[in-house]
Formats: sequence, structure tokens, C-alpha cells
Amino acid sequence: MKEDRLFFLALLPFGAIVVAVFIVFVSTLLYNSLPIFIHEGLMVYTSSTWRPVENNPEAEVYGLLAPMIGTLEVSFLAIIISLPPGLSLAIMIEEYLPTGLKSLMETIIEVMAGLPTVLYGMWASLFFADYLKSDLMIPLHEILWFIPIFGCMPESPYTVFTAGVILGIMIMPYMVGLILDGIRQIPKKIREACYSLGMTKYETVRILLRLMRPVIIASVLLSLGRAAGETIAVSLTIGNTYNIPECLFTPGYTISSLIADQFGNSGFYVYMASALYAGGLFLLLLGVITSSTGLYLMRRWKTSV
Amino acid sequence: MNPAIMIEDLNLWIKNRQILHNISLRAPAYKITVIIGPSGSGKSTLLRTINRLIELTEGVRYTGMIRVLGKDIMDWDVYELRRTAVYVAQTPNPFPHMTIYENVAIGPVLHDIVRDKADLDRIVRWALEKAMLWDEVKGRLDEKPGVLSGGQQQRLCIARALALKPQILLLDEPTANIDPENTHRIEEVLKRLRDEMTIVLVTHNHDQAMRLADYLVVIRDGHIESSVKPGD
Repeated sequence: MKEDRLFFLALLPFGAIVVAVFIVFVSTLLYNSLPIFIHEGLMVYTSSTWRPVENNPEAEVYGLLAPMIGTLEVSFLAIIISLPPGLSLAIMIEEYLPTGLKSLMETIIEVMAGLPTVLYGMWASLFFADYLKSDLMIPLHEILWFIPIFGCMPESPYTVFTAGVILGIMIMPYMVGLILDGIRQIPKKIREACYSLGMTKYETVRILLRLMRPVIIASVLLSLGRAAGETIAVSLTIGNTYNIPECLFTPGYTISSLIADQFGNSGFYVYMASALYAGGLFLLLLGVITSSTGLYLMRRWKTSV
Repeated sequence: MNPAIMIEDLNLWIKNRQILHNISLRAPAYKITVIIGPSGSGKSTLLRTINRLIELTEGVRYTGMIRVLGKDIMDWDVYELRRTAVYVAQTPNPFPHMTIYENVAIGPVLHDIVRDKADLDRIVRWALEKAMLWDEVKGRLDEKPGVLSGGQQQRLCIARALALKPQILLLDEPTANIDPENTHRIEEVLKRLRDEMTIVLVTHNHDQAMRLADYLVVIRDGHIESSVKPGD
């Protein structure tokens, strides 16, 4: 039909724009990262020296290993902190709460997911971090001092641990949403099969959880991608100190907090902006891997149930 | 002999709409009672009320009395009731993430019916043989049920129900979406099970009802129209 073809042609530019923006975005990252790769090679990802030198480009050294490790540490910590309560909350909402309470809880979760991240950062930085230090970090160190990641006494409230906890709180609503979406994709007939075999609610939930394992893994991956890129809240709570954090109770950096913190200074140096672009490339790669794997698992699961 | 299921003056509403009106019937033990009626007549609702599965539907309330094996259904532990009177749905609903073996074994494992693995193997084989599925799946018990045809999946669901060793089997149009060959097999399964348990079957297929029924209950618009013994 002529009308259909015209309508399709009218829509085409909008789809093309999205693809074009993505291509330009990736190309820009790659192009602007090139100088640091030419200057340092892959050392930019394997070294943890950060040495900006004014008016002497040859002496500039930028290694991203420390913030890369910081990014992974904070993100994994956030997942460990958000997964058990997130999963429990999703099960409680879907399987146990009456309709009224269910919609109230979902509204609260949606509001939490939509809050500007700077609010979480500010709340954590001005209020929560002190309690976290005195009531959790110090006791954890005193009890589990023999485990290296808890082996140092927290001196400041702004640490990798603080950033991980606040990030965990922030991504939990997102994770709950993904898991709820998964639970709701389970056909009614499966739940009915459980009850018709005389299973209790607890036994039914166990069966559904086993069925949902790929969704849970996908939710973790998608949340990990989101956590890795979070900037403001992490920047306000991690302490922004350039070192490889072997212990969770020391300050650190993530790639995103490094970019936020150093971007203003990058104009004074020849290679710093390029190094920050290379950090962006790392985040992009991490995001693409986690998101595409998560989405693939989610889609495959949806067609299998 | 006492009936396995006795229903007296059952009235049922879903969200204030009355679905069943003054239903009274008896399903004799070790017989096949067939409930027949057109779509929307309330026959599935009636079947799901017997083991209280209907309570999963929002906005349900009912009055009247239902006795299963002589005991009021409200006096039963609801989960024990559902294990005693097991329901098999119209659409096959095997657990897609479990193997064929696990699908049959899940009931006995959860409800501690078995002593050890050998005992479990015996029950799984027994249930699959009773459902006339053993010969078709014995070489691929570790595969997922997705590899089976619709009819085979339905027989797997019957085997899964049988593995619980129920005293009553409630079947909701189990051959509705199945080819004639599998329909014939399922009917054979039910005829063989007749001597071992009480069966209540819902169908809208008149010929099937006449082939299987020891007792025939005709339901229309939520009312029982007649209750007869075929051949009388």
C-alpha cells in the first residue's frame, strides 16, 4: 500500500537518528581516546599511576587501573547489598501483599527509582555515611579484621564501602522492577500447577524462583551495568582518592567519579581528557557487555516459559 | 457405599456474579463421573471448587457444603485436600524448567512420599506407565517437557498428578486441545484408573462423555439440568 510505505518513510528518519547518534557517540569516544593509546598504549588500562604534568606532555602518565578496580568493587558490592532485599521485596509484593498494599509499595519503589541520584548522594554524604562508619564499618572491621577487605580501620566515612552501600540502595528499586517484571511473565498456569499439586505458597515460590533463575541473573547484569555508570552519588561518598582499594574501608575512585572530578582540570593538560575518554570507553564496554547479556537472557527466558 | 464427593446446595459467586446455583451432586467412589455442559456453564468452576482451587480466583465466595471422602472441605488442610483430590488443567502445564523426570518426581519429593531414590524412580516409572507415557519417554527422562507434543505433555501432567497417589482425580477437559490419537490414549488411561481412584471429568464433548461416564451430570447456566447413569 502506498500509504503504508509513506508512513514508514516518515518514521524512518527518527529510527535513523537514534542509530546515527549512537554511532557518532561511540566514534567520538574512540577518536578522542586515540591520543592516550598512542602515548601510552594499553598501559592506560594496566597501570595505576595518575601523574598530570603541566607544560610537559611527555611526562604525563595516566593509568586507569585503580578506578577500574574501584568501579568493579563498588558495583559488585552494590549488587551483593541490593540483591537479597530486592529479591525478597519482589516476592513479597507479588505473592503476599494484598492489592492495596501492593500498589502502595510499587508506587514507593517507582518514586525511589525516579529520585535524582544527587539526592541519594547528598543524603548519604551529609547524614548516612557517619552512621555507616560508626555502626557498621567499625564493628565489621573489629569482628572480621582477618579478612583483607575488612582489614583496615575506617578513618573517614567516605569509602568504597559507603559508595557501594548507597549505590546498592539506589539500584534496589530498579532491580525490584526487573524481577517483578519477570515474575509477572510467568504464565498463570504454572502457578496454578503448583497449587493444584498441593504445594504451599512457600513451595510454590521455590519452584517459581528456580524457574526465574535466568531472570534473576539478567536483573543482576542489567543492574550491574547501571551501577557501574552511576556518578554523582558515588562521587559524593567514595572519597575520591587515587589508590587501588584493597580494603573496602579506604577511600577510592570509580571511573565515573574520576571523570566527574577531573574533567574540569583536563584542559590544563595535553593527555588527561583523552585518558578520561578512555575511561568512558571502559564504561561503555562494560555497559554493552552487561546490558546485552542481560537483555539476551531476559528475552530467551520469556520465549521459554 | 459413601460417595467420594458429596455436594449439597452449592451457590458460588465471583465478584458478586452468581456462577453456580443450588448445585447438589454425588460422585461415587471408584467411578468416573462426567460433568458435561456448554462453554461458560460453570463446570470448570464447579470442579475447581471441590479442592478449593477456586479460592485462587479473586472475589470468590460460596455457600453450601462439599464433602470429600466424608469430610467437609473446610475442615481439610487445604494443601492436603489438593493432594488428595488432584486437579489436572485443560491446557498442559508442565514445569518448563524441569526435566520430564523432575516433573513427575516433584510432588513425591516435596511431600515426602518417597523413602529413597530407588523408591522415587519406582513411583516415577509407575506414574508414567499409568499415564501410558513410559514407552515414549523412557529414553529421554532428562529432557525438558518442551520436546513433547501437546498430548504427551498432557499425559505428563496426568502422570505428575498420579505420582502423588491421589484418591480423587479432577480433570478439566484434558483432551480439549489434543489430537484424536492422544485423546484416545488419555481415555484409555482414565478407563484403567477407574478401579484405583475416583475420577471427575469435565468435558463439553458429548461422545467422550458417553464413552467414559459411569455417572453423567449435565450442567447449564450454573444449574444442574440432569444427573443420570448412562444406559438407564
